[in-house]
Amino acid sequence: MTPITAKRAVEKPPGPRLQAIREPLVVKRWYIHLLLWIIVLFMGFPLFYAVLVSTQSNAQMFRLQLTPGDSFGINLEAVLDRNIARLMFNTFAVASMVTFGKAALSIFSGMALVYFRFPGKSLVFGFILVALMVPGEVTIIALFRLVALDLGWGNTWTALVIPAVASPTGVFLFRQHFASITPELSEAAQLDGANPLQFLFRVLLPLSRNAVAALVVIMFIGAWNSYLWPLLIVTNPDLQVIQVGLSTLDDGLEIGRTYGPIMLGAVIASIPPIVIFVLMQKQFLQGFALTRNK
Amino acid sequence: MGAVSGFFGTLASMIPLQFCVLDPDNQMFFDLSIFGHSARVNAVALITGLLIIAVTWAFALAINEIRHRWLARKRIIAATDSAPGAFVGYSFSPWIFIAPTVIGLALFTYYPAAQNFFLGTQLARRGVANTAFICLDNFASLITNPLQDAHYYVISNGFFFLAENARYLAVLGNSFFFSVLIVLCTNVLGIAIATVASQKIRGAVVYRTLMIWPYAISGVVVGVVFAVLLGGGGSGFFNQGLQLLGLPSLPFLSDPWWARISVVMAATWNKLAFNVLIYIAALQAVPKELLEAASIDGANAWQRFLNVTLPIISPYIFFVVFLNLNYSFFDLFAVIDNLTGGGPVNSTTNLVVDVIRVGVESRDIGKAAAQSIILLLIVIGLTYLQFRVLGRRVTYGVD
Repeated sequence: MTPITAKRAVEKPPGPRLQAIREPLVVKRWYIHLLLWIIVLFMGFPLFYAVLVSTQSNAQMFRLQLTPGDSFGINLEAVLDRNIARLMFNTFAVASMVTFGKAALSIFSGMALVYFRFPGKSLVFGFILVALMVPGEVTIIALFRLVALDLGWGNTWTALVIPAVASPTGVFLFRQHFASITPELSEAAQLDGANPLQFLFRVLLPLSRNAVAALVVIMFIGAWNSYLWPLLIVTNPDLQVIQVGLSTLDDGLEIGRTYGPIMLGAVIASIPPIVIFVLMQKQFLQGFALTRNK
Repeated sequence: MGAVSGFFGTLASMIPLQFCVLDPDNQMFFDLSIFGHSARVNAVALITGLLIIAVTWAFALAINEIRHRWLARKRIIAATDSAPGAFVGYSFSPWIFIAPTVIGLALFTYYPAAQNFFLGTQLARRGVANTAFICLDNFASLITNPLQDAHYYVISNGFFFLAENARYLAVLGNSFFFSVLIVLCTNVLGIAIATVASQKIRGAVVYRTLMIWPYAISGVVVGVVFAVLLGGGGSGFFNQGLQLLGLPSLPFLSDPWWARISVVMAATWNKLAFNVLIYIAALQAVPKELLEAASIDGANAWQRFLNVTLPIISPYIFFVVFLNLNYSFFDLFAVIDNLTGGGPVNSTTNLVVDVIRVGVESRDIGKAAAQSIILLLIVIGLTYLQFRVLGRRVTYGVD
């Protein structure tokens, strides 16, 4: 047998025999589809209900009407009266700044931990790892005192952005990611005379596009959904973020409360993170592959 | 080793106390009755004893851990220190690269954490710069503070032991109640849903997307939406449904026990998408050959799940359980604040909600800092447990 025929045999597309083996792996049982649809409805149900109520008046909601109501316009007006556009813009601005800062600092720190040799490196890494374990809620009282009283940043976006920017999680994940890239790459870059910044922007970042995207999604959703810190540090409604604004939509008296605007606010506040999550799902799942190795 | 660390631990915790335990003005008492036997306990002495035990224990663990690490490092020192691919001749730039993160963490994580230990011994009011040293009264008041109107049957009410005036114990009990139930519900439901969703089926990716998108929803939205579903001024969606079926409506947010169940339901839904996501990935990593071999041996579906699938995905289960524990101890504030507001009568107030109530609303920074230290001890305990469990290989084979 000549090598050429052997190669041809390998290149041949899978024949009917192979397909016959692969076929039974795909299950075509209708009850699994039914079960899956029930699960999908169950998982989405609270938000589906919120969408439904956001179009209804109180009377329609209490009648358990399961079709869209006629009060969407009134509800939207009520929500806009509460300045929801301003709140959404604020949240978008703050979350973008936090995400950008976190990503930039994490990339640089991860690079320092992987591509440089310096005294006390393992100590610095330990310092970051310990901080990774401490949830923000543990330090929030002392942090509040520090930021509001000692630094005087109360009621500013500085207080929302700066303390959130140093991210041990981000540093840790980028360090793990960079360490998984073969060191021959940076050796080759050094041979070609690249300095660390050139290596970062020309080689490392283009290679890490998926990891960066995944972490940006996680960071953005986290920043968008943060509630406790803005609730404490910002009291000026013009600077407030949507999550806190949302809970003030709920502040009406029990008697005069209308549920449509509250639900509409909840839906509007959920749209940006959901859209970003669904659009970047593929990268996000790779981000999870990173976190799982923790 | 233990004796030495015990000695230093005791010493380290005694020095900052300035022997204030012995000061007769600083005695705070509370009545403790266990199974009907009642006793008068000195709260400051009790707290001091507990702190010394905790610090000693932490010291012993830390020393043991450092020794262990050091021995392990000696063996792999060549592998870690060679740093292949490192840039040569740049001694200053790594510091520039890492300085913002290190400074940020030092200022906004380490400094406040250390500050907690100082503030915990002070009479400190929110918005007031001056503080006064009050020894361990902030800690002692956690167990002597009057309960007032709190419901605290989780660990008390005569069924296990009755700590009179122990508001904080009730709060602690709530936190443990939430954690156990949330971890149980999210994991059982998560594995069940992921088992169905990880079937090889047409459109599996679409189904997965439709299931996991609630991951992006915030705790505030969960709290607000569930407040309408469960509460709704007494006739929310669930109660309307019950009435339609001719059943009596349930006091979801107005009865202490139902309010706790409501928080568990909302938090479970909040975390479910994440668990499903991880478990789908875990179940897809289970090798088909093992399942086939088991079914050839005559195992039915349940036996296959119990004896093959479950052991293989157990590392993932431990990982998810620890993440969920962290979530249910520390991240429930947004859900609780918007669903029940910690009520009715404090029945859904957990540790973090209480820190905010005390520190921000009652303006007592010192007491809130003392509570934060207890939170920190819980973090250390959870982290230690996590390393012990996850550090060991739980199962041989696929990971």
